[in-house]
Amino acid sequence: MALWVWPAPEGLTTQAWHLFALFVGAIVAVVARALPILTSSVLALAVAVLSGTLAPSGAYSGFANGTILLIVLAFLVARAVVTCGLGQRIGHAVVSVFGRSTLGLVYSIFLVDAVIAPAFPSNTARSGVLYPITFSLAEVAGARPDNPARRRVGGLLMFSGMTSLSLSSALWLTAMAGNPLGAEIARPFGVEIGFGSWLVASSVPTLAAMMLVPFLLYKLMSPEVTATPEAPAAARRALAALGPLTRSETIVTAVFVVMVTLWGLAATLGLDSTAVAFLGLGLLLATGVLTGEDLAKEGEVLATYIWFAVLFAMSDQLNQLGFMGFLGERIAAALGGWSAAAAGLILLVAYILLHYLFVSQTAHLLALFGVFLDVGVKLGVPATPLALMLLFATNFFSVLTPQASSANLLFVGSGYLSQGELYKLGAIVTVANLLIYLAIGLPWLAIVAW
Amino acid sequence: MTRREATFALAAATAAAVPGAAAGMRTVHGTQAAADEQRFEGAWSMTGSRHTVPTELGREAAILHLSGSVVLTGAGRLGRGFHGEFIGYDDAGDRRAGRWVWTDDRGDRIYGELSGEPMATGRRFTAIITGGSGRYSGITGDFAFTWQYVVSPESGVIAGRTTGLQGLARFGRPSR
Repeated sequence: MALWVWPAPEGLTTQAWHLFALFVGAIVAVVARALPILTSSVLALAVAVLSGTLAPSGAYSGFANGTILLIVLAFLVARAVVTCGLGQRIGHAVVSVFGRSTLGLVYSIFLVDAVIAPAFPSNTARSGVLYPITFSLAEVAGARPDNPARRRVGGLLMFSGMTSLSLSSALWLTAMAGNPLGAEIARPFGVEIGFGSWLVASSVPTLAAMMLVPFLLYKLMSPEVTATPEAPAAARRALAALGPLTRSETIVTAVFVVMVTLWGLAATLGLDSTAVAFLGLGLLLATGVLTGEDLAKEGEVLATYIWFAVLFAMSDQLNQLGFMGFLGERIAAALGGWSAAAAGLILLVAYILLHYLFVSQTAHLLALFGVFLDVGVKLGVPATPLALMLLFATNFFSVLTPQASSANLLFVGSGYLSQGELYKLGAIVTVANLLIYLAIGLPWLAIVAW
Repeated sequence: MTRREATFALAAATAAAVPGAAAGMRTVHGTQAAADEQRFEGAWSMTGSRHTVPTELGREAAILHLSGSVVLTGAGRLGRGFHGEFIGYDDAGDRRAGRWVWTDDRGDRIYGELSGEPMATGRRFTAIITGGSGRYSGITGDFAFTWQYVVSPESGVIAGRTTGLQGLARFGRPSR
């Protein structure tokens, strides 16, 4: 309310300022635990439209966004993986190899994701593959969202899934749609980034983060179960008891293979990732593996769809009204007179903090990456390291908030973590990643990319 | 900019600090004498839609609708920033035309036309200021810029940022 009545800064329209006030109000209400995220976002949208701050077409645009639809579809397909028993089978298989400890399970998520990531230009689509595996692992580990005795194990695995997606996206140029865009934007600054040079630059800091951050999460979340030396043998027995694949499992496996293949080839063949998910869901419905009754039970999907579509649209409209660009240009312009090193660090930190206002990594990149890179280069910061650090940050800040990336939403909707826990963990992990990339990444870039 | 201002602006990156930063950003532009000229420079960041149809030339004709922020530097009657909106047409041949409008924090506007090369990285645009409303009534002038980068994150979507935006504004008599 205070923001709303405060005069708009010179350079911003009142419309943009009021929308910013509503967006911040919605987020603060969630962080302060005054309102659930669904309630606060829906109320913010209603006020935005009824006050004339947003036109209905802009306010509702998130509901027709392909990426958001992809999340809904991936959630439903993931449900099929779990309910048909395939998820349990995959979970037992992973536990039979990595299940001697909970930490081992966490690392298995990072390993699987890092291997499949370069084939998935959409990290949201990749979350559709990783989520059912992670969810099944949690179930095999005895975790249930409504079971306080094992809730932290599930929460640890879910946040590990989110973190893994952020780091695997930083590891490979082709693992997040924004990475090649960033490389394209950086080219006029004399920065040439290709698949190989990206991997060389990202490998050391990202692999270090993949080693250190899971352990940090493990310590932070203190799972109820830590050592399970008997679990691999038990998992092997459980796998044997399951017998051969059932009809439903076979169909889900085949559909999943088709979807994963098409997602992997989406960029090459010009396929739309959301349409691939529609195809998968259609096949599961046509074969009777999923039914209308099954879909009717997935109320959580509807809630996630609504609040994320609302916040997505509000953030997008903020960007279109010039708010993000204004803030970025102003912060960047304020750095004149600082040393190159200090300016580079401030730009990186500011770039990360500003993600609290974004609901899309790509939108953030398009709005601010070029601005910050331009100013940094003018202040004498070497272009290549700055570009790479900003691009790595574009990936690892995706856990900053629950809505920081559409790839988070399946894990957020699992029910294992509260909104408060997600914000807290997101801030801690983002800071940890920043320190790792600064301490390990910068010296490495000085060798390979300066 | 001083270090204090830079620190202040960094704080603006946190959502809670933005109102304070906004207050700090206020200046007294717009209070100078009328009927003068002002050179200005800055940057224009835009994002929006691009709809195309194929042509016999083998290239695509396009209509563009972009919006974003215009941030200007230097003291003068022009505000330090605007919400900028642009709508244009590219016939894939020689004809490119568009209209733009900048809106400031009071809702006052500057209107103009834009022409130039195809919208692509490194290409140049020129603009004419054709008029304004409120404190910009009677304004004329021109400016030019180069596209620092232009990218298309997905089909039908386009985003870009200018570099070297420089121009001259001649102020008429403000209506208020």
